[in-house]
Amino acid sequence: MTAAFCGADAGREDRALAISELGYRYPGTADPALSGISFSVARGECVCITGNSGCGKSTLLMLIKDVLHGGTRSGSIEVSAVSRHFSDLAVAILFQDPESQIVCSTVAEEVAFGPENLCVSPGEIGARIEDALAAVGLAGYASRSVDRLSAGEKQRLALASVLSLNPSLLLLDEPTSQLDAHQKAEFCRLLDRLKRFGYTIILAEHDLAPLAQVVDRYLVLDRGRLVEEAIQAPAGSLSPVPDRARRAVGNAAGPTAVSISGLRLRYPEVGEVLKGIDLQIRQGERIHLIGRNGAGKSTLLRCLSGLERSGSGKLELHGVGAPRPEKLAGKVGVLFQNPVRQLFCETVAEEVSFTLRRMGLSSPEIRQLTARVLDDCNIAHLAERAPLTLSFGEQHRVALAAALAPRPYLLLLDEPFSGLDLPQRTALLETLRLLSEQSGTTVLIASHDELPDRAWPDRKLTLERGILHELAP
Amino acid sequence: MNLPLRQKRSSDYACQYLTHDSPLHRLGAGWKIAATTLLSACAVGVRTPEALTLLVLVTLGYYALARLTLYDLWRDLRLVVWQSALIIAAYLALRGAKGLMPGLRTSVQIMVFYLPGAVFLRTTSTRDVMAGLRRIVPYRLSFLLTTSIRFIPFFLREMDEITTAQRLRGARLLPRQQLDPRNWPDLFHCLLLPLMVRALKTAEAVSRSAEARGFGLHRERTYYAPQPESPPSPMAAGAGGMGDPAGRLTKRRELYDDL
Amino acid sequence: MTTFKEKMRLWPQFTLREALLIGFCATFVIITRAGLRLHLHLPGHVMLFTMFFYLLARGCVPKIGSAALVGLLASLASLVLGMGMPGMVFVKYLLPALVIEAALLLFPSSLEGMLACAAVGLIAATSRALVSSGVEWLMGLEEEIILSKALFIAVANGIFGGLGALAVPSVLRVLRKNGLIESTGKR
Repeated sequence: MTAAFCGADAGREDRALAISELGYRYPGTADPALSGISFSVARGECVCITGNSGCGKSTLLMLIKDVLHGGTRSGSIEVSAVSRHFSDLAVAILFQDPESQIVCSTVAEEVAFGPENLCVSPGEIGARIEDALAAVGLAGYASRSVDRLSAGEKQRLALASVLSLNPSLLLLDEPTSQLDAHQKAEFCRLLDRLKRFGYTIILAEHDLAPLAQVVDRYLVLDRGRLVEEAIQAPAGSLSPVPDRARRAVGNAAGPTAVSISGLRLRYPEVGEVLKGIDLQIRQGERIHLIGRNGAGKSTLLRCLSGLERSGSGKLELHGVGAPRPEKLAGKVGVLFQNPVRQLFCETVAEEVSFTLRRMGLSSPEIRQLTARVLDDCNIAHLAERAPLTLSFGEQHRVALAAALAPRPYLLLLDEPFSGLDLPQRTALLETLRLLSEQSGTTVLIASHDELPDRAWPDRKLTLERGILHELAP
Repeated sequence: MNLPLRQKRSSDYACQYLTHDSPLHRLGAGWKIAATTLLSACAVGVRTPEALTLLVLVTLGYYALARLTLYDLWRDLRLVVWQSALIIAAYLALRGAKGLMPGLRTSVQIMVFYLPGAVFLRTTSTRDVMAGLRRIVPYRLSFLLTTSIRFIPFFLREMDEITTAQRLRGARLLPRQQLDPRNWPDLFHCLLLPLMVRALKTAEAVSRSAEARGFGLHRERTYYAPQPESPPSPMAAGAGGMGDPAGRLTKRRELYDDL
Repeated sequence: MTTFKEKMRLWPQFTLREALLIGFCATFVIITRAGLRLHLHLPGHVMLFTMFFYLLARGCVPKIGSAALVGLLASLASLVLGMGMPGMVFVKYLLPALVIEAALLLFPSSLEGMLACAAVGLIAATSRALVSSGVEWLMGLEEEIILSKALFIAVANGIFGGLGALAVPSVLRVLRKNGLIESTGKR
């Protein structure tokens, strides 16, 4: 489909961006990442580019900004954004991970970085810093160290650091992926203001619900092609799976897998993070723990996996108190956020069987368990591939398979959906559902977002300011 | 510089930077490096007992000028004292009783050689060192240096997270497990290799971010020195932010109050 | 059709990405020195990680000067962070790096084999013992004492440096197999 999508009635002079028959192939690949892309964006418009992982959203933004090196491009990109001064940059881009785009140690230095590169005078830089920080709600933060900022604040700092370049076209690559619901809402309000101030905004996103009030138009990509344009958010875009019957609670009534009473934990700089947690989890239960960023979810999971020692209280896993990670290998599986960072082997099969080898199992047992878990996770065809050459979604499944291989009795997942699109999230939940039903594994997912399938968990807990509450299913 | 006066002993480790006021704290990093170089060079070249005595007095005076205590001195010289004891023992073994004086002389020289460096580290903050380096090191190098330092906390967190994930998979990464050299392959393959992968991806991301903000676009760049208290922007109340005829930046700041 | 070439060279030698990667290797030298102590209380054990990252940087960015740049950045970072004495710190970090550069100039494929790599790491780590020995010689310390002390330190440094270097070829192989760095000589 190669129809040209245009901003509604945008004449040439009103156009901020015009793309015609754009194609791109990464170096060394046979298939193009993008082909036949044509659309234009009017000044002041907010356009959202959406689609499943790997469809080419980030590639498209990086091509508009011209930061891709190597590769082969065809077609044209015309940016008509007004660059009012030699010290302005017409197009600015905000990448997905704010942590790895912040290059300086303090807030002011970071916001000054861009203007310094453009030889803006120091006096003017000072004014730009003030203005940019005020625009993103970080006024007064100038001398702060970037390490002291929360995830939401870092994202806003990254935005301020591109606003100080005085762009007229803003490209945002999944800017809310690391944020919880509250932070997303704040960020969307910020985008709304930027739009009212006249910025042209193009953003790539999975989670479209918070953006409904901001976005004027949606462009849907599928395998590098533009397949749909819509005014409303496209159907199937991270909407919850239609309600399925929740399983009867009695089906998960086994022996106690996790028993916590009066658990407290305090960090010297932060104060009390967990304030008297009481929780009983039965074997085979599926639990969803929801809470804002910084609520203590990861800390609770670290206590469950023996990585943190509580200040007081009691914690038992299958009747064994004071668990230590070295004793839990193979019994408790943990998938941390961005689990691909733990991959290190030459093949997927080696990666998945690592824990089995450490447990001292025999070679036939290792082969059998490895083959089974590769099948369960739908990655048997990738067994001989190098893990880091796979797509993000495939790497995620490899990390999951590695955690599942020894058939742990407890599986803990900390923000497992980060970076995954809706089909991948749904597939992950399905794999976990089968695991708990077939093997009786207790599964606990901690996340700041609702699950795509609200019927998946047997129980739903929320952690707020260190206190645990149970919600009605 | 209104730093607090020294109230009590506060060294946790040798050569730790101490935030109190002293004449040397107020002295520029370049001057202190020059003094360190001079005193250390004298420690290397001195040969007579009289000259050594004078040098010891000057160095101790220099140390005292930084308002450092005897405890700090012991902390800074502890390792060197052990080394000196070994040297004296070696001289005694080699020359007998006649070796005592030469051994003592050399030991004192070594202590005096290291002490000015300790004073530098105790009285010069990271920020002052960076500011001094910026004057002599090309920007390209100081950018790499600041980026390397800025990412220390990031990679420490990464290292911690990779370690915890791998421990739960059965990798032997605890310090007591690493006492056994047979576990060192786990250190390199389960921790340092994923860390290197992270570094490769981060380098890619950081370079893109820097390029996207004009790094290297021009041969030169300006430098913004943050002021302790930045005065309100002269353009703030006026009709437009810098370089923005539509005044968007100013409007943005005023209208943001209701967020 | 338009084909883009790599742009943004920090020096003619390195792209920005390569220079940043080298900088991160210097970061790791600092971090491992400060944080991954082996609790062995043996001299020379820091060379385990120093040689590893020097050689790994040279393998990931196979250009002349990459190990030296790691050494330079590590010494500057050490100075800035208060982990090294001004003056000595440069020589301590740069000398082994320059030995590595010289060795790889003479024997470019040293990073392919474990033994060759370990030999380079051993020699480079050993050279660091010369630094304090040189200062002691200038101070007039007895030559016999200097030699025995230098021998002890050189052996300790060399053992740990050689062991650290042993891991480099296998790590490079995994990185190449995963497509994260180019194969040898293709930069």
